[in-house]
Amino acid sequence: MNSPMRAWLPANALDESAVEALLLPAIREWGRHWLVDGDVGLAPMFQDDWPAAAASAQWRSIGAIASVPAGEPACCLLASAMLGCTVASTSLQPTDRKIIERIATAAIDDLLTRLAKLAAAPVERIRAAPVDLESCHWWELSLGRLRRGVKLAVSSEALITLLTSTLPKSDKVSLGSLDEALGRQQVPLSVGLGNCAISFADLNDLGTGDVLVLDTDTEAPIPLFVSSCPSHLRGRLEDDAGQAKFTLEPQETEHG
Amino acid sequence: MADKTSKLHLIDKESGGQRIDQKVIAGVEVILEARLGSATMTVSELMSLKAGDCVPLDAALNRDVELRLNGVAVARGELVAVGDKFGVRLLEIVK
Repeated sequence: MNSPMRAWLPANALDESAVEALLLPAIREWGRHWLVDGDVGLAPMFQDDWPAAAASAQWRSIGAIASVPAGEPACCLLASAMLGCTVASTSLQPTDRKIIERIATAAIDDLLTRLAKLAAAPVERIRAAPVDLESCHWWELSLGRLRRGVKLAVSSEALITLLTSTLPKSDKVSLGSLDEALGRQQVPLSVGLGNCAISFADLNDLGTGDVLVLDTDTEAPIPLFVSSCPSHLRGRLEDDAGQAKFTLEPQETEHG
Repeated sequence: MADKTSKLHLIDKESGGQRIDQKVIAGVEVILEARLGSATMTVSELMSLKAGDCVPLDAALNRDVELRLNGVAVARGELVAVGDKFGVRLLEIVK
């Protein structure tokens, strides 16, 4: 029976403070680039708030990594932080609305791209659909002095990738000591003489003295089985004072 | 194959001796595997083997060839040559 290998994470690796420490530098850099008052904070959202945040009909997402609700309220909020003045959706003309949407989505898309790069994921095209929100951690980006913030959903898988990339590498067993340890392992050997196919009826009728013809030529080298599996080692059988011995033949190369 | 056989036995016992005729599976082809062994060796010994080296087997060619059906020994015999093929002459049927 084989046991699967599993990725290891330290206890509480996905604690809010640990994740915040990883995400915040990139988010702050983004804030300095796009916002008048570049101060950006990151606060975890309580699970009870997720359904309301997830109710947005408009999204910007990158790969399976992160999503930002990008409806009009979020765009106006972000535009306010970018322009340094209050942008109220009720006072927007259709043309203004388009401009606000364009500049806000440009900033959101840049945020998502920075997060993808942080997670060392291939930068994919931004799409207008959410990632699997059930598997996400939710955060709220506070933008300068504004009371409300923009929601951010980051998938657990991306966070784990990000966390594992920052962990110190475990000490690998050096090849020499592994060889030494493995070298002492005992393995059972046997020789495969060949097979024969018979019907169930013939099998039932078998008796001592019967001869079954195998599918192996007497002149052909036969395989050595290691732990019941055929190996590439081939050889010939010889009789050594009543005991069988198996003499290895040169291995065939790929070119024969 | 093994599962079907087990089921046949169950039917035999639970139905008060009514037995399904084995002719149903009489034509089913089975593969018998001939093995000779065994020996044990450490991995380091195995890895250092080269052409011409000998692996002594704890078996005799004239009695210890095992015939296995799905990994289960069903008979033993001696290794013989049948024309240009190997063959096994049965010496013992494993009950």
